[in-house]
Amino acid sequence: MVAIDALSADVAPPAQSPASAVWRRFRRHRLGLAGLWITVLLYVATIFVEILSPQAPDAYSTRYAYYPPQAIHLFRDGRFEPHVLGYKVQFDYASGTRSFVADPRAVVPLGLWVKGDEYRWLGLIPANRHLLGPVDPRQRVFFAGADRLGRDVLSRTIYAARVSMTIGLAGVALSLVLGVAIGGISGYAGGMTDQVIQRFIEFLQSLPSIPLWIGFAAAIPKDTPPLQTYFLISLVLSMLGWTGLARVVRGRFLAMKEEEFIKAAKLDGCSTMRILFRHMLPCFYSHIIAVITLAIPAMILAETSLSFLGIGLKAPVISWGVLLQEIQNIRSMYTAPWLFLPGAVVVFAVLALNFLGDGLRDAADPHGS
Amino acid sequence: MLRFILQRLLWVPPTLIAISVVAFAIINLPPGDYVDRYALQAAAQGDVMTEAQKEALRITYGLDAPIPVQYVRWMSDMLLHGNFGWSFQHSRPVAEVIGERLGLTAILSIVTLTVTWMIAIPIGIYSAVRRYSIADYVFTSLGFFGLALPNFLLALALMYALFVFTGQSVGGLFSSQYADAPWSLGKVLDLLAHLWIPILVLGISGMASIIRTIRANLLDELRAPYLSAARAKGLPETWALLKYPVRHAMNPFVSGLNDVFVHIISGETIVAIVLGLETTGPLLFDALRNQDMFLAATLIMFLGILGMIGTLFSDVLLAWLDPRIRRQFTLVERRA
Amino acid sequence: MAEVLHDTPFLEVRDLHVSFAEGDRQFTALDGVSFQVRRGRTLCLVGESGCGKSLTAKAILQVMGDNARIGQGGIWLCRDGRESIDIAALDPRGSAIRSIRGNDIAMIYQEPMSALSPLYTIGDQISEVLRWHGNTSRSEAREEAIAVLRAVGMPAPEKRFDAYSFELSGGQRQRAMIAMALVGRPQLLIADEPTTALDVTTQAVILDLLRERQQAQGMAMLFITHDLGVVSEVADDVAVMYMGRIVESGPVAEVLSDPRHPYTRGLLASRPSVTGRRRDRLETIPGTVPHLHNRPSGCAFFARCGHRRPGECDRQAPPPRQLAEARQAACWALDDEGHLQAAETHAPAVARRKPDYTCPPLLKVRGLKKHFLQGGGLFTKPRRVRSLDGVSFDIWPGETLGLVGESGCGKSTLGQTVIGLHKPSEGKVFLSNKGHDVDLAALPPAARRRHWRDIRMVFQDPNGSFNPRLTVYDILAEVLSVAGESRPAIASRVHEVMRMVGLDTAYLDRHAHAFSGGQRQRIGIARALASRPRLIIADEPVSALDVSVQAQILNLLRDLQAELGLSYLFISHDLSVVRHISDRVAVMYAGQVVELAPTEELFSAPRHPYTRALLNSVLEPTVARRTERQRLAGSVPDPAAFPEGCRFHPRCSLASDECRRTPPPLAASGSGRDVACFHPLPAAVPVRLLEPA
Repeated sequence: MVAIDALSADVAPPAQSPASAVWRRFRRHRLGLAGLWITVLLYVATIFVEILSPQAPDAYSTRYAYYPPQAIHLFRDGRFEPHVLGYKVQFDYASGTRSFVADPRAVVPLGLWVKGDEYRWLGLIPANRHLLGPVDPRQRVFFAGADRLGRDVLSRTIYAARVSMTIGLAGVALSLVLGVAIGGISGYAGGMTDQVIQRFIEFLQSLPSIPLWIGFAAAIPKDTPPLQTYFLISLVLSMLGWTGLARVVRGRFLAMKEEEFIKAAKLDGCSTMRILFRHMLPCFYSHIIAVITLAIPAMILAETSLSFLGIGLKAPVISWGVLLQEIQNIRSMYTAPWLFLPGAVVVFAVLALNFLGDGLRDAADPHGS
Repeated sequence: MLRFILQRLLWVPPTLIAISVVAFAIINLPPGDYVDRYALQAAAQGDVMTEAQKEALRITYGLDAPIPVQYVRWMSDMLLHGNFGWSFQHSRPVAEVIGERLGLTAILSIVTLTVTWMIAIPIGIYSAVRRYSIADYVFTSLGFFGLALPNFLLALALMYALFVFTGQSVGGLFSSQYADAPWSLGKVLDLLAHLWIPILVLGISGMASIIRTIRANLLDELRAPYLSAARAKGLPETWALLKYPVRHAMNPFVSGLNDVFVHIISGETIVAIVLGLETTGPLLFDALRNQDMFLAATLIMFLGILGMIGTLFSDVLLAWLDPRIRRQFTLVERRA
Repeated sequence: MAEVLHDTPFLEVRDLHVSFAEGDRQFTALDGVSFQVRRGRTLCLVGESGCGKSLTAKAILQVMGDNARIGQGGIWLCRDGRESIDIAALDPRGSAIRSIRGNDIAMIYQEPMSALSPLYTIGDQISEVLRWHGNTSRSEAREEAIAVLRAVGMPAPEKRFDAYSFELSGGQRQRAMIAMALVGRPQLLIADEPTTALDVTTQAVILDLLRERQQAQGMAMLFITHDLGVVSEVADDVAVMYMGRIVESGPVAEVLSDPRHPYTRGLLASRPSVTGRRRDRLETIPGTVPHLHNRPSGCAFFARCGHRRPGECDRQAPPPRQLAEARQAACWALDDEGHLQAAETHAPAVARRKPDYTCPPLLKVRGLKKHFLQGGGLFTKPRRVRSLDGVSFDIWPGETLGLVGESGCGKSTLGQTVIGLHKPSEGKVFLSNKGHDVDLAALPPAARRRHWRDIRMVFQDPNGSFNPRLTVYDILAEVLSVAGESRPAIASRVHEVMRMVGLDTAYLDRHAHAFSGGQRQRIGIARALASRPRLIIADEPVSALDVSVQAQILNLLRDLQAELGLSYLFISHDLSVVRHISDRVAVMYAGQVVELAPTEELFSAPRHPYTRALLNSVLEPTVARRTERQRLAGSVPDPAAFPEGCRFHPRCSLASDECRRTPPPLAASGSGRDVACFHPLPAAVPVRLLEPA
């Protein structure tokens, strides 16, 4: 064995993988961490929407049209007995308007894990239990009020989360595949291929995006079944998203191609495929995760806007954008401001995802790119 | 420099043709045409059109020809006669329909942009220079909110708030008595009284992203050695900041200005629909939905041209701001 | 002399403490630094990276950045006829410090490319100093800036005034930077590694310029460098820094000839020399400078010190001890007279194996060319950059061929073309394989891949040459698993090479970025060794490392060669390193080899004028300062537009008409030496006498 200088003085290298370094930096980002937990909660909630919502989303009754939100009272006559109070309807015949007045005698006792509207959990398992609701299944409660058909706004908002939160994922997944594949080819191949792809992306980006959007969305026939609409809309969303991602991936590939460790991999005898998939792609996992986390809220906002305009998802599909269509009618907005609830939830979810994405990006790329 | 601009201009015609083809394709993507829509509407009012009537209408509108032929006709009319076609919906020439909305759109957008930049750029600079100060936190969180809040929702919320506090329903750019009145001082004042709502709505989301961009760019530049060198030369702090890092941070901002003109014309579509503004955004939206083909195609073409002008504008501005780009082209010229 | 000593110092730093805030924690970066800078004299701050040299300079001007804070201590400035002020107590954004910056004290930054803004002309950036400090009009400021540009030797200063930094060459940029510092007529010039990014020939010219300006303006100078050769060239006094403390200081001749602190000794001993005795092994300082986060208690040098006394040195940091007038050292191991007790060196000598020139060469490179096409658009023809333009040489088994030249001469391209990262434009690369030669350049990629195991590469950048996602095991195993070897075979080979380079196999599951620079370079060598190569191409393998770590790596390469009979193609810009490690040396200029000779002959009697100029520019930490030297003017030619004839002729003092017309061929001139020159220097007369060992 060769005589070697003692290395005793060298500090032992810390056992820390890049992924754990990213996680450590991310944990210091408090807003990002909060965003992570809220995002996780929201996505877990999308699995249990049937149980979380007090009513079936399409249960309607004209009796309850524009029924205002009912506050939960925890105590009754000094005893712990959660309940809400019903409203009495009063007609003002002079002005022809209807108003709701809380009725202290119309007590609706509340319970946990109560029987209520029947549903199939995830469309499969029949059940009728709800996390929170009136003890008597014949009674109805509206924690966040009702819409013009007397449907429960809270239940509908919860159900909408399933569609709105996942349509972003689907759109991002699609644009991710397109973006990584095309951007990767462009960046790795370079030369003529790269030039052609870049001109094409530039052309796509130079197209004014809003009419493109409207045009594609309007091109979806009105009688398309809901599930198909869902996928078509996510396709439309991803068509707008992939060019940006492709540019990011290409830029990274181009920069990385010049890195010495890629030359080293070449000299190790690696094939092009091995270099791409073993050496290059894993190096920007964290970056890609950050980029797609930031793309999801953009897609949620896009879906909301499209559906709000009536060219995205349409009833009977329930999404936040569809729900917000209710307040396109100015009058109903003025009489029933609780119809803003889905909007508030959109802002909340998008904020959480943005914080998460920002935190991830900072953690993945501590010195900026 | 001149050569650089010329080189850019060379790309304009092919791109325009490509855009016009895509525009035409998008419009013809949905099944059916304007006559079908028209017949549907008529049927809803109890007026059923016969196939012969429909065919006659198609011939009047020139919709009977195959789409490529329609395209060539439209293009040649436009290029040879300056005729942009006929709007079916409005039963008027396209040029007229667009023309009457253009002025207002431009006023609204230019005022919005100016206000946004004048507020957002200084805030972005302040936020970066005084990082982690209370003001920075406030602006940063406002920025996050601005990004998370869809602007149509902001518009609705603002309308609701105004309704609750003033009891007035707002919308549009003019009060009813001025809507069709000729321009007067009163009308201008009325416009200003209405204009602030769309400006506020559009401004907030625009500001949010500008503040974020400027702040992020500047934070990188604040680490650059030339700032340290400028300080070491004894320049006053503010001057050193403005002359070096701020000027450097403007470059990525300027290169992002390429779609500024597109934004001016179509950026506020959804807000304009919500607020009932008579701008080009809702016009395009309706034209697309109703397959008002030539109106939609002309508007998209128009947007395409604006997009290219914007890119050219930001490229030239960047070259003017950044000697590296400027000299690169003079070098090429000298060598060629 | 006495007058100078009694003169009050222009700047006195006393017990300066600076700490960095990271999150909620504070890290001490300067731990009680004290020194004086006197008028008309130069103080050199010297030490490895991370010792706090640059931070000290920035603290003096209060431009340290937001998270650094001066804890205690003072920076006293004593201007003529005015009372002293403590800079450390001034508001870093106030007007008092502003009137000092650029006016009394000016600074030259390490990298002019990033310290000069590309958005403004250099004239603007120079003259703004005058416009802010005095009531100078724009035209007066321009006149004065041009005068200073002329004084720092900028060619065509009127024209360069309106040039941008990216339009200048490296040397011109540094001149502009110096002009920017000098234009305010400062009384103290701080120069932070002003020549580190430059080629040796340019470095020598810039150092001459700085010294000349210092004498002309009577400035004091604080010069920061890691290079002891530069120290001996510019310093009057020297202060050696280690981890935020000054461990030794004194007049330059005394410190270099009689170092007292173990760290100073280590720095001097681990540096190979161009003129001195050639040693088989370099003495080393084990380990590396610890990160600020891991500052040891007691003497910061304790863990790396050969003289350490456990129980004493690691308890309390040694205070500076006055050894003589103006001479201090901070070490517990000094005896009563202030001398360091001799410690046993732990560098066992390994027998050096001589290359066998009787057998056929391992690698034969013939007429190798690599041309790149650059740029080119719709209207412009691409430029043909001739990075390599007809290079031929042989490497024998067990031999080290050193390859030197200034940046841009094509030496890295040569390495990468030989190994196959670039496809050669022309020429052949023969590898001897079982008795006959295979032309690698002619092989299709798939066939070529089989020979990749025979020739391996060690890269310069210990950060960038490892995939951040892979563990050390994966990195070392990659070449073997691509070749399809079995898992147990791979595992045993990985452990073997890890031990060969002196690393603990327990660290195989760590990621490369967790290691120090020197350790990473060992991993790089292990990766090269994994496939049992016959030739290793080492492209600047030690130039990113501190001098003490550099010595460890050079020793390792030497040991491995003796053990395994490897051949090296050793590419470096550092002549002392090349001399230390090479059996023969090839000098490259403008894409061609201009001289190729056995190491000792080349260094003692260079025959090509360019080789001589290169050697002349090398700075050595010798006591006696060399007097007159010829400087190499001009810069390396544009590789897309080489001059006619000999490519060196515009910079050559011996150039004749023939040189301007015809390119000289690389011709054998006896005793195994090849020179491409019509007027070679005589072989017998050495440029300078070798110093006694």
